[in-house]
Amino acid sequence: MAAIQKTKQPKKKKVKKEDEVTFAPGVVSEEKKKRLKKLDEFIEGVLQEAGEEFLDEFKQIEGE
Amino acid sequence: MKERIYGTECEYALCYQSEDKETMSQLEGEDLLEYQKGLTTYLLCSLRDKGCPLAGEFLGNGGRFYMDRGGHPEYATPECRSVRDLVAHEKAGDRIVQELVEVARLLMVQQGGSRSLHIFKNNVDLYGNTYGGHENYLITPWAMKQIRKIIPFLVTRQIFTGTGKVMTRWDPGDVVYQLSQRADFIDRVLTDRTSKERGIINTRKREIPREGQNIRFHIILGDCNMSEYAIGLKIGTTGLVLRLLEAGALNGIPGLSSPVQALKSISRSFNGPLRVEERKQRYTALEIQSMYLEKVQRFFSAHQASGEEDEILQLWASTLENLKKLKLSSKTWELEEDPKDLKRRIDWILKLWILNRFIKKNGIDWGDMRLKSLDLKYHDLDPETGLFERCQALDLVDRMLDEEEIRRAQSAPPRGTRAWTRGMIIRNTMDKNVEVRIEDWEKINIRAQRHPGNIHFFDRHIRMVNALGIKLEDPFQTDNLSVLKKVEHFVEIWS
Repeated sequence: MAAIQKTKQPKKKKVKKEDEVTFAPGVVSEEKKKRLKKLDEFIEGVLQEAGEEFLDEFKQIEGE
Repeated sequence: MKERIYGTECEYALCYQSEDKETMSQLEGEDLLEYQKGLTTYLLCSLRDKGCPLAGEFLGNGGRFYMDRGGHPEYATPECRSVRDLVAHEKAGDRIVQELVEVARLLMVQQGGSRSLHIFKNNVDLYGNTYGGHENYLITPWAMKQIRKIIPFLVTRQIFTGTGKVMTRWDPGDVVYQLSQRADFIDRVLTDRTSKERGIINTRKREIPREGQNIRFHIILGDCNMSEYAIGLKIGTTGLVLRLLEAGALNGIPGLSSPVQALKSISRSFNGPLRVEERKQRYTALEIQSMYLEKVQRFFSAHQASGEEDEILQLWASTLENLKKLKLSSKTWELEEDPKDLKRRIDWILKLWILNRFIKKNGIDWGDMRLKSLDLKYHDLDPETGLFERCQALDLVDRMLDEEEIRRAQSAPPRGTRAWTRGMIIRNTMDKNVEVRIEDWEKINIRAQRHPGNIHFFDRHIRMVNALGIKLEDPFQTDNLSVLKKVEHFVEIWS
């Protein structure tokens, strides 16, 4: 099913000019890039703060 | 049953990194249990310190917060009449326990400890221990007798309810990632136990009186979701399938040849083929889900669906349709295409996407233990350090609720069930001269704490009645105001 849908997908439009001048998608993409950058920085920070021993510390007992 | 009551129970995991290097990892058995109990006690103390309305283990929102057998904190939502209320109250539970952790950190620092206490909403640790996320549905006794018919649904729903799990080199098998955290720990089709043995269907009976018409159906195979949409889908779709079961409209869906094996197999391979009874053809989890969806759609083409049922039905249909478009490498677990952005709603996909990014960015493989750390951090409820929480703050996930609904559910009970009466009594009697005792979901006892000073000596009947017992046997009980008035009158006499 997925394969069929993929083959049916229309070819990418060749409208270079319109794409280049369209403002909105560029804004969204920049905004998203910023958010992803923040996420990556957050991940680095979290891993550093937790330290290597964090996984060993995490030990639970089964409940009911 | 057109009306249903839903409830969930989350067993949370506490982790504390002390400065004196005494670590949980060095503890075993009773010592570890005592340690865990100690941590949870900090949360219970914090609950009292915060001045939250409560009676015993019950809270002013009608829910319950307590220490479970494994020493960990557990929150049970109040009885909810709608899926939306349930999602709000489950998320409210997450907020409540996180706020308690923040108070507990202050208490720990005051006592010379570190403030490194964190609470997680997940289902497994690195040592192979599991803890549950339980679901409760009120169903008819007749449906309970037919309950095996929903086994294929329960086994396959993990394709949208799983929270994802990074495997380690110590885990058996050769997969690097799984859809579900709980799948590997389910070893029976039916059992009445919840630890040591765990079943797809839990048969522990708990009859709930309402003209003998209700039974609590208890499910223990699900993961604890972070995503609001995933919680809504899990509870909502299960409710729809139960509706059909009760109506006798769930026929013609093949049973799985080996449900327990299928559960584990789907968790390891999203698109893997499954054997079914009496048919040569094999089906994927997605195809089995589509069979249930089609039955439900057909049923509601002839029966009136409520607004919420209709909403869940559309959400279910679009989720399955979008899952068909998902492209995933079965060997490397690389998320190749997610054209409809399912990662915004489905936990295991969001986690996988984050892990894929991290792997690519750092040029590492699945054996890197930092991935396991990220897996755990996904479930950290602290907005400062939790990965899911941060994704939500960065608007990388869709919200089913608005913040106000969750904030309200932290203190206010849902309407339309006995939880409202329970919650309001707890709230209205706070700081009054009475003691409210609630030992289970069905009874409330209120006792006067001292002799009333303003009652005439001869008014013996009032003096003698220094306790008020309220029965809440019917979970649908909505005759709330008369009960509340009775309580108000009692409080007035004894204040």
